[in-house]
Amino acid sequence: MRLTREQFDLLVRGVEQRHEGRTDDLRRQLARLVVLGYAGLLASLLGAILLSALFFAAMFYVDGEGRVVLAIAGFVVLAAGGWATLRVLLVKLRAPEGHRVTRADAPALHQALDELTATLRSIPFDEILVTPAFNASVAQVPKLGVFGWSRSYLLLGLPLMEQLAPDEFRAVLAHELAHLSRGHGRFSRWIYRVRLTWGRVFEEMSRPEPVGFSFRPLIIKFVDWFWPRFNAHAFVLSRHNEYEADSVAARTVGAGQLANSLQRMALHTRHLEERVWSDIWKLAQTEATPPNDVFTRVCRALRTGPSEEERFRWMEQEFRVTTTNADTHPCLSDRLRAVGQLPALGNVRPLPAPGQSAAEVFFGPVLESIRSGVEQLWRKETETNWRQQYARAAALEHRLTSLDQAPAATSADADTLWDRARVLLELQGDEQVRPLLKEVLAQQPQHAGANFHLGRALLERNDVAGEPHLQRVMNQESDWVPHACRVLHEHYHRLGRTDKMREIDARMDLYEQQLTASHAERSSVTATDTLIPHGLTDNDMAALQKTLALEPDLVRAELARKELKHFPDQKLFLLCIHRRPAWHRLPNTDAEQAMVNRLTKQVQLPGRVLIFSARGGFRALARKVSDINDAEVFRVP
Amino acid sequence: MPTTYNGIGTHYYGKKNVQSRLGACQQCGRQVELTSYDTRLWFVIIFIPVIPLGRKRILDQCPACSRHYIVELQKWETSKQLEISGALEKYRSNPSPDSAIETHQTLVNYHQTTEAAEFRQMMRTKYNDNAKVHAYLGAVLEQLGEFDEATECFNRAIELRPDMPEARVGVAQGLIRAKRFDDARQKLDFMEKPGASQLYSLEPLETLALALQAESRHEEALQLFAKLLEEIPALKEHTGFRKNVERSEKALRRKASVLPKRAFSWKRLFSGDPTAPSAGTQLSWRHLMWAGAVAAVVLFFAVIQNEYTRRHRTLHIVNGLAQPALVNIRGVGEVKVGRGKSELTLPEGHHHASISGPVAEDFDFDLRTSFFDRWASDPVWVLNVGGAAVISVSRVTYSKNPPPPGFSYHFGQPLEYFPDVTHPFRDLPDSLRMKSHESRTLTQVEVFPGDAIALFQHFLGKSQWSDALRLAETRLRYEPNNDPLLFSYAAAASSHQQLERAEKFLRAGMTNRPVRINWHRSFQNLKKDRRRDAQLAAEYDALLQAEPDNSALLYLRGRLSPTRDESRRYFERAAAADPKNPFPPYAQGYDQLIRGDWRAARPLLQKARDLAPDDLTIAHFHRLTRFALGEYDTLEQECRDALKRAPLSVPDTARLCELLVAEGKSAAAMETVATFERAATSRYGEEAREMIAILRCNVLYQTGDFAGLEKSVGSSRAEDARLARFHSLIEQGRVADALATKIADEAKAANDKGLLELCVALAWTLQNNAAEARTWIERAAKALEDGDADSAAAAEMLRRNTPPTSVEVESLVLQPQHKALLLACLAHRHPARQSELGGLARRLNVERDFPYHLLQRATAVAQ
Repeated sequence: MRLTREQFDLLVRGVEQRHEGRTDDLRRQLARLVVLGYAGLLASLLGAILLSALFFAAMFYVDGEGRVVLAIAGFVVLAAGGWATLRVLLVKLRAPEGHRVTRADAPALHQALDELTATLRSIPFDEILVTPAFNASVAQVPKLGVFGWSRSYLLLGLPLMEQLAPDEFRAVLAHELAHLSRGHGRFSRWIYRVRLTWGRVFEEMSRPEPVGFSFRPLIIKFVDWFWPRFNAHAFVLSRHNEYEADSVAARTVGAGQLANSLQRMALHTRHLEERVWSDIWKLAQTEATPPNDVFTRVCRALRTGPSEEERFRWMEQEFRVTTTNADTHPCLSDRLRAVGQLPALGNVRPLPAPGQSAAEVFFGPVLESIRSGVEQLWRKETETNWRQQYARAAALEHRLTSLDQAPAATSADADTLWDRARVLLELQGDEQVRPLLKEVLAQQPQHAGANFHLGRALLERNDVAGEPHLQRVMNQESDWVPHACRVLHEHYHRLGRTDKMREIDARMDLYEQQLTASHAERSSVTATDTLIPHGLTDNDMAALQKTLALEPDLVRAELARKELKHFPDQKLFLLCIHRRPAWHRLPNTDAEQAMVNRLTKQVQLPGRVLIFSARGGFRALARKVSDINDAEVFRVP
Repeated sequence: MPTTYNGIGTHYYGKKNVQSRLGACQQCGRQVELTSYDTRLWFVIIFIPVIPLGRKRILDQCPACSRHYIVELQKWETSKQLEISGALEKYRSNPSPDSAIETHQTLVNYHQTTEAAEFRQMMRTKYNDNAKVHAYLGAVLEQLGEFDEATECFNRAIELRPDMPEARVGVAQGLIRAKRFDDARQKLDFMEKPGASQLYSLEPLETLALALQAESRHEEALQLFAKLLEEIPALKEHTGFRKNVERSEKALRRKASVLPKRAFSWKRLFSGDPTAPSAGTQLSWRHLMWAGAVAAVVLFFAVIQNEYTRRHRTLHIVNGLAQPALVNIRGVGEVKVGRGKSELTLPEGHHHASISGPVAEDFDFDLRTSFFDRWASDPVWVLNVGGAAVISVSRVTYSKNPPPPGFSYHFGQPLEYFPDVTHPFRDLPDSLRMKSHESRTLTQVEVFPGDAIALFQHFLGKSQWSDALRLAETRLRYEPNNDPLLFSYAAAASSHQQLERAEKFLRAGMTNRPVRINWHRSFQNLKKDRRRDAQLAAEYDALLQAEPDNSALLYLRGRLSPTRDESRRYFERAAAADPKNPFPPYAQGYDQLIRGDWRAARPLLQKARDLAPDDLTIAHFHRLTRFALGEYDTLEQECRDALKRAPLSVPDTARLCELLVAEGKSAAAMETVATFERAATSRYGEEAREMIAILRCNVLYQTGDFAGLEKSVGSSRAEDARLARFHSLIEQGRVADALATKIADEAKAANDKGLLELCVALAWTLQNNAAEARTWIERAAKALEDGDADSAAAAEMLRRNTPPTSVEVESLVLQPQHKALLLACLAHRHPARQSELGGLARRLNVERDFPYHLLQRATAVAQ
């Protein structure tokens, strides 16, 4: 069973408390978990080996031809079992894609890396790839799936290098290399790599099952149980390691450089996500293919930087963000605080643009060719998406045209307005659609889609007026809960509202749990359920009694409610009816069922209603209803 | 689904709250009226409900394939009430079009057709201006098969919102059903715009394309397929889609296809094609995995069972001998086997057996089958002590019209192996229960329960004389006193030219002690040869030197003497040496008998009979003497007593018939045959036909009904029939016709040499054809001249021109009937002595078999 966010948080907190200041204990526990992990993953292989061993052992007791048959059977079992296990465990991971930079291409970069590797006693990378991402990271690609034998990749985002100063970039490199440094401790480094590898392998495993013979379902079950527990322990160690890597980087290249790089990365990540890339992708509505100079545009946009207002707002938000268990990396402020570089509140000064970017310094004359290579890579990756976006935009334009041609009489109704709003949301963005959404809500205040998008648009502008819209959506339509929670979570994350984020996580956990449980609870009743008094208002009671009085053969009726754990504000009534017995006292189930059928159409109570007679499987429930206080709601005098 | 077998199982009884709706069956896909109802599931015995298994709600039962869903009635009722009341409450608290749609959907889901229809009417009225509601209702009604009302709803929706995609699709579906494809395509035009697949499901476009294809409008269908391919490039890998496109291209005889070539895929070849049109249940890897796991476990236990079988083979040990035998299998164990069967369990492999007791044998043998045969066949190994027991193998086919069973017999080998036996030493069932068209063959192995002589005769009857001789040799080795078998063996060896073999076999028993007289007699009788007799006489002389007072040897030596006087002296010495030896009085009685003095022979043969009541030869001549002396009543009573003990005894029946004929009770004789026929037919069926025919022929001959005899054998080519035809023709004077049967030309047993020639000669004589008679006399003399001393003397008498003296006639030792025949011929040759020779022949002509009547006619003058 997968853990909820709350359970994972509790687990992480428990691990932190248990092993606080006792890292060795944590390492031992992790070692045990790794052994358990391998044992669990290999259990099916072990089973196959045992079964085949049974066949091989039996070979000693049979004669010649029997030996051959047993040997074949043993090998088949071993091969099939081994294949079924290993094809899952030896999952192939695609090597990361990027523009390969050799020592000949970028001697300066390699020299810097050599220096850092020597200083930090880190393991060398097998390949250095320049990617279109605004990031720098280490990737481990195992050749043997969960068994490791990984190839190490250093992934350097070109936009990041274009934006950072050489020393700032060196700080980033130092942080990444520190994870693979001997100074980190052999075990920590191994755990870091195992976690990285297993994380990717298990993610790959959890993809939809391809057709084929494997022990995947069994292994997935084990992984679902094992991975959160291992991850919680590894998470604590990794968090610890992140601080240690920052510390190592600060000692190696200077705390100031590290702080600058962290702040610059935080700011430009927002800039890229919210401005630069969205502007580029808007072109997909009008141009069938991406422009040829995307990375020149990105570079230019990053050089220009965000507006002062945006810079201030985003940085303020970044400093408000708190550390969560969604990522092993601590939040910006915690990282800066750890290296003694946290600026005083209100004293966040803008960073000047670097004179020469790290890309220019480390790539030198080959920068243009690298840009071109990365651009080609990006175009290859985005080609399908771009084409689909373009096609979708064309279809939406056509839809918009047909909506525009709708008769005036219907063009103002809520459905038509909502259809138009949906189209415009994709074509033009939130600002243009906001009045339309308000129009929809004016006609249908509970409209889920309109409330969601209006709330989202407002929150993205840091307008808290969006919150009630999203709360309304969540209260009205459970299907919208995950979407609304995601938006609210991001909003509170930006605001640094850890308490609110926990609330949202709890809401999501509850939603996921209730998704199946609440439906089962509301669609079945048994004698084992807890019953409570009906709590009807006088008006409802009068209406009910009036309805019941219309049944000439009804002599008595009792009413109670099932106590609901999920969505307790909803009500589930149980109405037990007693029909006048015939002179011979024998039951007449047909007549009783007919009465139940009539009453189910006529009885109206503020909630779900189950009407039944005290017969058959309902006998025990009827007894339980009659035991509730004031259950009797009708009796023929 | 409830199921019953022979009326036992589960069954639904009762049907309440029946609701029906039009829809497609999820199982068979037919568009049918699906029925839902409340019922009760019962455990039934011969369809009588016995145990109630709960009330159920049957959902969507298909009238065609009867597949349906089953829900516990109480759960269904609870869920239905709660969900519907919940939806209605939600609608009452928020009567929006969306909640109305939700409520209606709940009613439809729970098959509340009437309530849903009422609610639908309310929706159509209340939300008459809401296109979304009408589009929804159209879609639901279409699912429910109410296409007219669905079209109304879609039309209303499109009237309100001409742009509404759902409404346009709904109307288009109606138009497709109405085969108004152009209008439908116009309604679906928005789906043909670039990028439409990003917003809508293009399934209606495919439906339209397929509808056009079905109407042979392939050009337009291909246009739509091309649009679909353009929008959803992944379709090029979809086998079903490709087939549809190819169908239209083929119809248009297009050489170039809109479909790009599909790359070859091993995975598609071996793992099945998930995009291919469904053809029922597909075998998944998971199924294979489970099947493999089950197969592995089954295989494991099968191999273990195979190994157990290998280690626990049963060796059946049979003993056909009277004395118990001790069988020791080295390393396995020892078992004492009395007459009958025993068993030993031992593993397959090479073994050594030691047998002690009535026989002493040591031999190695292999008990081995192939690995796979241990699963496939049921082999049986039988250790046959001394090879003496006869093991019969019966293969019986059970079917509506079964073929005759097959039998084979095995003996003489120490170890027999039978590869596939269903009933080892167990009785076969009288009948098997199976379907009328079925056929099953069972194989039984058992020890042959009958007499060896019966099996011997069976082999001879089937012309398997080699098996017959081998059987006799095997059995006589351990049962030398089995006189019937011994005589049959000697006779069969003689008639099948196996004298060398028989001589070799019988000679091996000559030195056995005590001397078995019948064994020696059979050996002596094998060949009628003077030189051989002289040689044998020398051998007996040598034996007598060692044992001069051995009565048996003296008797046997007497049989080989060239003169009658010498023989008589040996017989007297033999009788004196051992008064309890039955053969000397027998020989002396026989000596009287061949003189025609039946009265003198009677006490001597009686004495011999008293000393050896079981000896068949003595019994035969004792009975013949009594027959000749006319002791019919006693003999008839003895025969009838014997037939009471064994009603189907052929010899006793034949004797009784002969007696009755002799008594002049021909009708009674025929009735005896008829009685035998009924009893034998009911017991042996068709197999009794041959025995009955022989009996009938005998009686017909004995009664002198030669025409009847000829008629009864008809044109049969069987040996007995041919012989009977020959007899009838000779007796009817049709000698030339008789000779055409070639019977007279065929080889004869040593004892019968010259007999038929003499018959033919006599027949020609009676026909006054002296030349032919002379020729056949010469042939008879030629046949007799190589025989023993008496035969040679007979040949000499036939050739010479002077009649034989009285002494010569008296001393001539031949079978009575043979001697009568010879004398009859000589009587005609020498008319002067006709009275004397004919008279003696007539006295000797006692047996009523052929050539009784011929002799009677030939010697009538001497009467």
